[in-house]
Amino acid sequence: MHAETETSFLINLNQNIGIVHQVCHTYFRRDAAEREDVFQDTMYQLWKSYPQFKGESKFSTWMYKVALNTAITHIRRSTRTPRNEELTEPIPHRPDINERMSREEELHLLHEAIATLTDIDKAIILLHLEDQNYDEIASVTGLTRTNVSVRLVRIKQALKDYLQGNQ
Amino acid sequence: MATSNEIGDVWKEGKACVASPAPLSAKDLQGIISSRVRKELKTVSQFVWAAIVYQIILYSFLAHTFIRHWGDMRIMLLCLAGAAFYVPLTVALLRRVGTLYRRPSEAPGSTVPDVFHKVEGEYARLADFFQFKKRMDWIGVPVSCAIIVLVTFTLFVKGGVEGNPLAGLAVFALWVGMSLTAIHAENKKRFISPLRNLEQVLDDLKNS
Repeated sequence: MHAETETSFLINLNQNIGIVHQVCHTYFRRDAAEREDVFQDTMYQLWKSYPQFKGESKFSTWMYKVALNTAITHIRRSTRTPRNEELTEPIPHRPDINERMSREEELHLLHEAIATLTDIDKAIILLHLEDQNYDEIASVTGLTRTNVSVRLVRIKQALKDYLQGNQ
Repeated sequence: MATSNEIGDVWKEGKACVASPAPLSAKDLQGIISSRVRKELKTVSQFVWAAIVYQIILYSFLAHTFIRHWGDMRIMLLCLAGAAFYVPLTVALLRRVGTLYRRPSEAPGSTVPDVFHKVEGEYARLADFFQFKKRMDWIGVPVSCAIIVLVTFTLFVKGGVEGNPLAGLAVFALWVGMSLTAIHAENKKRFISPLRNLEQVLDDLKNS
């Protein structure tokens, strides 16, 4: 990569680096070592693919595409099964039924609910929560706009059911 | 937290509470790139090693026997025939390994595929290589076992295979059985499970 391209890559990357952290956190929430590994792999894939980025889509959309591709294929090509993942992050105390949940606990519960979804559904809800529109979600996942909207309804319902059952 | 809006609010508030990740410097990035290149090379070399280790054993055995029994035309021809049969298989295998590990993004002018096409591509490449490897194992394992048994019996057993057909057959069957068991375990870890996993994602994408 030329020095000029590398500088523009670093600027764009740092403006959107939260995307990679968010994707890694969604898919590898409980395994810090695996999360770091995928974070680095995503950086490498972004760096390798950047010269081909022509700006047809927003940089953030392109970054989601690379990050999700890396995360999903990493899980699926991994020889480790999810059951083998060690819990390197403690699970916060779950409140009593009468206790009011703090925002932190609610966020933790939401992450738990998202963790129960399939890899593709995780990608769709993540993109939706990150304010990507239906067309952008469709271009990242390869689904049609209609499929995205139908699946989002199903995903939201599944999340609500999980959250209501655990509150 | 029961409505979609509430879910969105919790997500946004959660993000706001988390400190922004530290930006990467050019030095950090270079560090990551170098370590990933090393890791990628290590993965490829481990795979190449695992794929050709059996053939290396065979070549070493044939070369050793060829030199040690220099002048014994029968042994020398047997060793040469074994090596001549195996060289094209090794070349074909190495070429396929190269294709398996050449990432699509390395092709000039290629763009980043969406998740569906990425998973589909990964599945196709892995399935294609696995198909090739299975074919090669079915041909290569019995042939290499036959060569080893033939040469070993000629060298160390009085009368050779011709004089001890049942023992020769038993050693051959045992050798083939052991090789196929080891290959099956390796295939399960490196191909069958990852292919099944990729298939699940593809099914999920197709059944929208």
